[in-house]
Amino acid sequence: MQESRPHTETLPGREEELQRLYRRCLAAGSPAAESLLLAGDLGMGKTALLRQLGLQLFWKQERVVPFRYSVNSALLEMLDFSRDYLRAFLRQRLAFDERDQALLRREDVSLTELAGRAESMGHAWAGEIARRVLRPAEDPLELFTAVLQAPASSASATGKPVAVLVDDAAALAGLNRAGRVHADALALFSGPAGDLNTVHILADRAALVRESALPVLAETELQPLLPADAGRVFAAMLPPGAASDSIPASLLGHLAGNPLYLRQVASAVKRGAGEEDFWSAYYEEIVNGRLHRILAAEFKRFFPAETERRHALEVIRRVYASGASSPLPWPVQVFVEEKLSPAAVHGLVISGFVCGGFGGYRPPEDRVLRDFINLLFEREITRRAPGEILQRALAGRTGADPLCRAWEWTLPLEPRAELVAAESLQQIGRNLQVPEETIGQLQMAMIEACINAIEHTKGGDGRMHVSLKTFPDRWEVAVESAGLAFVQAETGEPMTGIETREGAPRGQGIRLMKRFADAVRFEPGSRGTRVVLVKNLSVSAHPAKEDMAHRE
Amino acid sequence: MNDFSLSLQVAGDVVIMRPKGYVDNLGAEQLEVASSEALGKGMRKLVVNFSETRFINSVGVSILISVIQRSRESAGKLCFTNVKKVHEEVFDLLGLTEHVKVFSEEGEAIHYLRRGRT
Repeated sequence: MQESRPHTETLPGREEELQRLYRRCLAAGSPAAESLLLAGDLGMGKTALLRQLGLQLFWKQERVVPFRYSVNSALLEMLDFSRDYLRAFLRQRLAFDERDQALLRREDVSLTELAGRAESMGHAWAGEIARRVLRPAEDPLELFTAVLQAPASSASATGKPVAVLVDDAAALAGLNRAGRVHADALALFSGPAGDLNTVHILADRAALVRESALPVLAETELQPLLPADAGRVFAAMLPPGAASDSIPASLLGHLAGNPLYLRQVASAVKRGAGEEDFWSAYYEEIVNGRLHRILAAEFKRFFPAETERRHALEVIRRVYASGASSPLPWPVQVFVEEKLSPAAVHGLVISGFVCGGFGGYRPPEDRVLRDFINLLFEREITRRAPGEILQRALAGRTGADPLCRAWEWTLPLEPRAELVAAESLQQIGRNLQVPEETIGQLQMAMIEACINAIEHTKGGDGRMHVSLKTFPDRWEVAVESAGLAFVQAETGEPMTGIETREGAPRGQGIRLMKRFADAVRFEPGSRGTRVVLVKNLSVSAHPAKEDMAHRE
Repeated sequence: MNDFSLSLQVAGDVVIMRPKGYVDNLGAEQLEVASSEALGKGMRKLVVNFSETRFINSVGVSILISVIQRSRESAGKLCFTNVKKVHEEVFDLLGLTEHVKVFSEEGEAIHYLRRGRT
């Protein structure tokens, strides 16, 4: 049965990538054909991109046959995989010939039925390979190899090249024969991927792609959406009644152009009347919503055993507590002592929940992952109820946490205005009996953040807004102004330099901030740019008895 | 807002400068002028006593670097004293302590300059 052409899904912000991949697929059958590894972090939209690419190839042209396959981790026994892969290919191959969308979607059609149908249409090659798979008399590895070649066989027999789009490709590293993993099986894609009659696009997480034994191919990595596109995606997913013009820039910055985060959080917004409604939706999503379930499943994928998962959670949390500004020099022995298995240590890195490698781990740039882990820790280790975690998370953001005390200063952008906040910080520190050395360091970082704002602010309300939140375990200073000029739009990182004076070293202010705060974040705020300085309070810290240097 | 003052004392062949308050660009420039004038008069032994310096910033530090350079060019000897721990960390981080002696007390610095060694 033929069906009408479906509405094609739009992919805001991914139009260029889509067209590039489309052109690459159309090159199948020509000397320019080249396969590709498509890498991208969790939620970057690889699956959506492959789906849209498949649809575009299916409906917009007739020369190249699209074949989209998602590796199912439950079907990694070699023979099971071979049958499933071939069945999926034959189904899509026949559907393309007949423009039969119903067949394209039919998951229940058997390989026997498809093979019969293909042979009746003159595809002898299909019958031959199907018989080999249905009545296996040969080595499963040979059969697997032959099945991977099926698109190329089809192309040479029919003259129609094939674009093979494989999602979650790195999962193929788990391919096994009777339970014994055949780690090299993945490399067998090299043959078909090098065939000019087929273009293979193998997609998965960047870290997995690099770690796996995938064939050596050209590689492209999906980048986060640009801010304008991120705003479009978010606004498009908002429920009716939510005001798309009140989406907080701080939240968009927090979601960092990740399409999965944007879609999930936007669809969880209930009212969208003010900034806090949007942030509430965010926290509800990562504490108890669909985004939580997706990230929790991802976490479980790398740490399947509960004991190890809890252990990994504690280790990751400690990496996060080390601060975001610099790698933590952490020798591998720490993990050995902690009795994490080699697989778990490996998973720690390739999961993306921490960055770096042996000898130096640091929190990821992804703030959503960081929030998720911190909140998961509350749930799994501290054993708090989701409702309480949500309440505490929201309270912590707004400063309504009963253990949080908050101060704010609105200061003119004038020289030495920063001293008002610095002096106040000192007095508050004395009142709360925080060691003078700690206060001195935070003052230093705050002064630099303020003079940064004074130098770089353009427009806005002509003021800087300094706030202090004190918690039992940390102090957070935020300096916010319309100083967009010092944050690079693409990276979210500040420009390297503060203009000090002609000929003087540049960029020392940011260096000092990073030296004296345990974490420094540069993020969009409702008034422009916000620099957040976090200073951890050591529970064992005592007031500095001696504040003078002794040095000769 | 005037948060800086600089007091000067000449003790024999040593000039002691005591910056008080906030060593930012304005404060550090006063220090720079004072040290240049002293060097111009042939006074080559300089002490900067930071005991009353409450705050500094990166712009002020960049000017202190100029003070150090100027002193070296004039074959002068410059010492810092009574530096708060956090400010010493700043000086360390930005490389000033590689080029200037730091003492805990002003007297030690004067003693060092007069003897030519610690």
